[in-house]
Amino acid sequence: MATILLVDDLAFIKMIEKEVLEKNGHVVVGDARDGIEAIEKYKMLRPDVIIMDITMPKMDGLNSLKAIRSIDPNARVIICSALGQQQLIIDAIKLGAKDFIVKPFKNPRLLAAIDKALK
Amino acid sequence: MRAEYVNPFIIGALEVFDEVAQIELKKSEVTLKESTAPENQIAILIDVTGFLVGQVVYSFKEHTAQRIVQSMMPNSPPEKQAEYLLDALSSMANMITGHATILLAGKEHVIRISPPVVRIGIKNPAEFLQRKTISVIFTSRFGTMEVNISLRENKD
Repeated sequence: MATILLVDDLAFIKMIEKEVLEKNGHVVVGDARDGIEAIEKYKMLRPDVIIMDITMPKMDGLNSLKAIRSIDPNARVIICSALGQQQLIIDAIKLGAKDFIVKPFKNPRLLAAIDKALK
Repeated sequence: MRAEYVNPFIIGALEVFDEVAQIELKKSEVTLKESTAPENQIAILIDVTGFLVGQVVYSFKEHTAQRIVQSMMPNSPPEKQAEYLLDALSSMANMITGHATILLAGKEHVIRISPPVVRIGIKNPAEFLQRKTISVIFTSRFGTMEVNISLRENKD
C-alpha cells in the first residue's frame, strides 16, 4: 500500500488513475494540476510515490521532477505521459524518475510501476 | 507540410480510440486545406514545438462528443459523463498527438506539445494556423472526427 500524489492537468486522467490505484489498495492523498502545484503538494503531503504527467501549464513534469528531487533526492516519481519519445524517456530517467509509463496505459503497467518504485 | 507527417496521427487515432473507448474508427477522407480551423463545434487545439512545429486541431459535433465520452466512461452516470466531457476529449487529443510524436520524433529528436485548449462554438480565426493543412476525417458508429494537421520541420 502506498500514498500517492497524482499530477496531471487533465482531471479525466487523474480520475482513471485514482480508480485503478484505490481499487488495488493504494491511497491517493492529493492531486496537482501543474508542476508548480506538484512541488507545493509534495512538500506538504510527502507521498510515497508521485505519478507525474509531462505536458502541463506553468511548469512541465520534467522540470517539476527535477525540482522535487532537489528538495528530496529520495522522492519516487513515476512519469505517466503520452509523450513516450525515446529522448524524453532517457531525460526522465536521468533526472531520477523511477519509471516512465506511456499513455494510454494498461492498469497492470501502472500497478507494476508503483511496486517497482517502492522497492 | 509533408504527407508523411499524417500517417502517425492516423495510426494514433485508430489505436487510442480502440484502446480507450473501444470505438472503431475508419479513415474516410483526406483533404488539403489552408488553415487548421475546424468544421465542427467542439474543437481541441494542440500546438507542437521542437523538431516539428505547428498545430493539430481535433473537432467533433456535440452529439458525437457525448457518445464518445459515454463509451469512455460506460459505468459512470450521465451527470459525471457531462462533467468530464471536455476533459475526456482533451485526454484523447493529448494521447493521439503524443502517440504520433513518438513515431515522428524517432530516436534522436524531441517534439513537445502544448496542453490541450478547448474551443466551443464560434472560433477566433487568430487561434488557428493559416498554413497548408492536411485534414483527415474519421468515421465511427458515433459520428465523425476531423483532425487538421499543419506541421513543418523547425529550421531554427
